[in-house]
Amino acid sequence: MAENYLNVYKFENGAYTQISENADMTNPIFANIDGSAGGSIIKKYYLRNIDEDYFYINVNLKPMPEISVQSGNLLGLELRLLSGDSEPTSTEWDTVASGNSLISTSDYLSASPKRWYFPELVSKNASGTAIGADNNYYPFWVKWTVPPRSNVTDITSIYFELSATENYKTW
Amino acid sequence: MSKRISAHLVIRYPRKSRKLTNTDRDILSGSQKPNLPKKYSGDTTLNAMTVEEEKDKLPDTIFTSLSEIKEGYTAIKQYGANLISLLADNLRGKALEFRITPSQIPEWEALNATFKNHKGLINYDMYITLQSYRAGLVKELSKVT
Repeated sequence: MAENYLNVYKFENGAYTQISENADMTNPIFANIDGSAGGSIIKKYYLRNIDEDYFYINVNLKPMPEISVQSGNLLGLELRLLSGDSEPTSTEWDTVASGNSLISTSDYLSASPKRWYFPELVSKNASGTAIGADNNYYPFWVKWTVPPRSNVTDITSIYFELSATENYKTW
Repeated sequence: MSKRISAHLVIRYPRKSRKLTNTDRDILSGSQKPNLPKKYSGDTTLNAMTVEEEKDKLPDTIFTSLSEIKEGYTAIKQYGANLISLLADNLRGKALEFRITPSQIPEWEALNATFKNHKGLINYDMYITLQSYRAGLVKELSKVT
């Protein structure tokens, strides 16, 4: 049974707070945008494995429903994701299309552009053997964009699907 | 493993404002009745049908806000929150303000955030029109509990 120790957090007032899950709206990834002018909101979040006995590979974080099937009040909404500690530049945002996923890679050091990836959440030795969990917070950025003259609305039907292959420790 | 990380987007319109006129002040003080469109003058109910019936006759911005009111009313019914009162703001805020008692429902925080976001959506130009709905809305909302 999946233990689901991989979570998303925000950092506010000096503390990390877990983003709520499964349609619980107590602490969602949130944006509030002026619909008359349209525009973008960019916010920083973190991915973290909280358990020392599990590690995660094949991580995939993706906005849902997929852009291609969005309808109704989701039409025109754009959602982009990039990783990294510093806020991405507009040029960097232009490297991804709306609805993109952030995925983990086993070769994060040579990944390019790094903004598209997370490292796999496991510590390895020089020969590539897993030797421990990786419990670091990995920052990423969410960019919401709505076009001008968007209708006033309150959207909770959108979510981010976080999937990964969960492994119990081998060390 | 796979999980759904919750997300919430609010698209709002900025508050419009203008200086109060003497007529505004008279209406506020109750010494003068607002010059409501005839259609609204005797209307003391707010329900989905009213909004639907009127939407074609109203400017888009007003309909949007009435729609928001309807949505708020529906949300209160849906969540079963205990209602203390619904207050039309005093024109200085130019917004309708919803006041609800937290009743330890799990959805309270989300509902509260929703209503905070609604505040400011309704500007003065819509206020007069909304006044005719107010009494009926309070009456309807009081039935929720």
